[in-house]
Amino acid sequence: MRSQKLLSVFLLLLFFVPGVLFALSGGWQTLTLPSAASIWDGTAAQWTENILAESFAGKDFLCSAAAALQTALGRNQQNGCFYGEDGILQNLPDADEAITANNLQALQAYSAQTSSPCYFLLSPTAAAIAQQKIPSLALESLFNQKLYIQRCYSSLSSFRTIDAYNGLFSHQSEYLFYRTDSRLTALGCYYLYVSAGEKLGYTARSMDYFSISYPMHDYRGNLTQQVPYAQVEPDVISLFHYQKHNRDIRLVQDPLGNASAAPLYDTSLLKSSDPLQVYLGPNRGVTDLLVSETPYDGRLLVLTDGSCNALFPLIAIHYQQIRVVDLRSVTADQLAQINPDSFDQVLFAFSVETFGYDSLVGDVLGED
Amino acid sequence: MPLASFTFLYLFLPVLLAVYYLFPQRMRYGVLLGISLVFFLLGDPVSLLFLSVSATVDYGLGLLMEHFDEQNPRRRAIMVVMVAKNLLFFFGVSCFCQLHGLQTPLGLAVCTLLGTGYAVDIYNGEALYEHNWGKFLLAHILFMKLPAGPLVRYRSLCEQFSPKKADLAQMSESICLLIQGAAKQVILGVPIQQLYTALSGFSRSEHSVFSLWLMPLCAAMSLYFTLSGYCDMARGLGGMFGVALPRNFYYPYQSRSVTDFVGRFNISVTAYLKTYIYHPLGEDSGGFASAALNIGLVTLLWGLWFGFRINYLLWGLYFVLLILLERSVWGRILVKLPVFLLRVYTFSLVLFSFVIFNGRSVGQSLFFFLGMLGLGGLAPATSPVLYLASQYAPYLILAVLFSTSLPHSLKGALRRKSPAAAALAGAVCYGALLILTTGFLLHP
Repeated sequence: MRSQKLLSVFLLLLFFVPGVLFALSGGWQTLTLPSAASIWDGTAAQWTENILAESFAGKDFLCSAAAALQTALGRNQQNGCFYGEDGILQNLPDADEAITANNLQALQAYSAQTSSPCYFLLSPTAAAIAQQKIPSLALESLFNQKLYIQRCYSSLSSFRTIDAYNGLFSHQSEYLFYRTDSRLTALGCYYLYVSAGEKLGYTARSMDYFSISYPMHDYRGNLTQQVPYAQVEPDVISLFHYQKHNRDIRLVQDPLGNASAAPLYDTSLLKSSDPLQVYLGPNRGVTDLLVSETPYDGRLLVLTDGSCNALFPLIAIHYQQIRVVDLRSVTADQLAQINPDSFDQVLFAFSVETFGYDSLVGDVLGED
Repeated sequence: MPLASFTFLYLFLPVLLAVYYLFPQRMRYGVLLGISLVFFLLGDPVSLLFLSVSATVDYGLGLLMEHFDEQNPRRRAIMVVMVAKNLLFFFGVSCFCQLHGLQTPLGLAVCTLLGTGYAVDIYNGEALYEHNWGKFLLAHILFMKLPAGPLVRYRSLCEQFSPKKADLAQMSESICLLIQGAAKQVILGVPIQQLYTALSGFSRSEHSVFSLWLMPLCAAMSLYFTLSGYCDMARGLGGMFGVALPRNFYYPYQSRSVTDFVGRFNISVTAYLKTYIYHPLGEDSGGFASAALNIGLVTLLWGLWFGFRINYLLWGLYFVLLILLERSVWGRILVKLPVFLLRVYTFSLVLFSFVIFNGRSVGQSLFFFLGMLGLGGLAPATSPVLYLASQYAPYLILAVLFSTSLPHSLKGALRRKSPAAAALAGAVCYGALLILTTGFLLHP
């Protein structure tokens, strides 16, 4: 009888403690008396539920425990992502045909404005390349990105297309994609650089030409928001520095407006909200990579979605100037000031994740 | 407000307990009424308005009935009005909501059927006329039974609103039931429902024989863990506030016959139908035809408890047919079979019943049924289904295990052997279960 009483007290305490901790942490101040209207339409209950869930004592511990148990019970997919100890991979659904058609049309329209040769690089996401990390039974239902890329390439006959898929797939066991981010690592971008060389007309340098530094070992990328409690090792951010011929690459942010020069790889940006800004600086729409002490005089215009920014410092060693236009933040004015004919080549570099699902390309280039 | 939510478990419940036990015993039913009103108001204020009015009308008609002696035909007329009003309200609102795709109002079935039972009981002299409107209203809107029952008779409820002393020793059982109910819903019910939803999103060409077997299994387990979870929570909460509520599920998936299954699944509904329909109709005293008709009617209504759809009607008919076959054809053979085979027999037939239960139309159920038997030209299994099954297999295994009486038997054995060890193990297990349930609520 006594043990039953003790059990009652113990279990009752479990119901009371979170409320007491909530009160002690000042949580009660966030709760206000619901209005009659919010009670009537049912939003009051949901609002209170959200407040309590957000500030629940030991939330992280409880979520981690639940996530660990769910993973132990075999779950490896959440919010459209596969996850495991070796990383989080976004499982893309079938691409949106209407968006794709609109984006392709925009590329064709833009390329029609210039006599400079146009190149198209459509890079696959980790789910298409790192298939060894995906449960074998799930492979069959994956979106076929290889086929999608081929289909996009074949509909742009006037473009020279860059085979990013095979270039990455042949190194699939390497660290090509971040474990916690959907973007390519510097190594992944290096292999894109190699793949692009043949079409863009340069001889890609071997890895020996670069020294690689690793300034950040605890990067947690955008996919951790999708699977917040997955037990995934944080990522390492690496920087490729060209070693030979004293070639100096400098960044010029916003060259069409308030131009500001900065060294390549400003490592102070590793402390910013998006440490991957280290490759091209804060996203200001237009960024120039200017190379001095170089025998090359080519000028390359890149229109991109920011999915492979580590690629451009590598390509830069074969050019005198690369102008990178990030369609996510470029303004109509900035775009209007750029004359593609003043560049020797125009490269469109996008990820399947953007091109197949986001109307960004069509919206921005279509306006032009 | 769902019972398995932060707002209820960690805000509403502690405040309710504190308020309830701070008041003197004689005032506690009044506090409980206040609590139920607030719960109802936060959950579904529109239903509160209508059901309170309905209960008040029943209360008034009951008092009116008391004024006439037993021979007066007006008593019968009042009873008929009360029953007709409640049933019309129940069926009318249910059908309206179903036709317009609206959610059925909170507590509709529980309140209206309680009112119906009250009318019949006072007419038959099986319950006393209620003179206290507050107690009458409380019996209708008692907060813990509103979401999913159990369905109780008025007289069994009102007897419990008398002053009672808090018993900490008994309360442990109630808290354990509450935690168990929440865990059933959140840890097992929700993931299995997710699997079912994923499978039911498949087109006909995407289905395989395996997926069609998996679907009724998921449906059966999901329904059981959701409904029995609700009822466990209601019983636990009832115990914490001094109201004993009956159990609604008694390990239905280990039944030894289909007749047994109907008696173990949604027990309070079965008991209600037996009390107000089967017994007045003479049970099985009028020969086979009469018994068949009575059993058929009760079982059919038992099936329709879940809604007014052709598939639920067929679900009820399926059980009517099986119960009658068990009574008249193979019942004598069944009693000679080993228990294991009886359970396999029952579970297989119950599994098939969920093909009818979950079909969106008769045609779809037929497609599922033929597909399960390998007659639909479907592949035995496809990778997407195998992948889904691999994701949820541990949940299904746990669900099957916890739908049996095995965990309860182990708990009982430990308690008999060492009560102190059982209490310690209970504290650890139920504490951990509550923490995990909270974790699953936070990280669904």
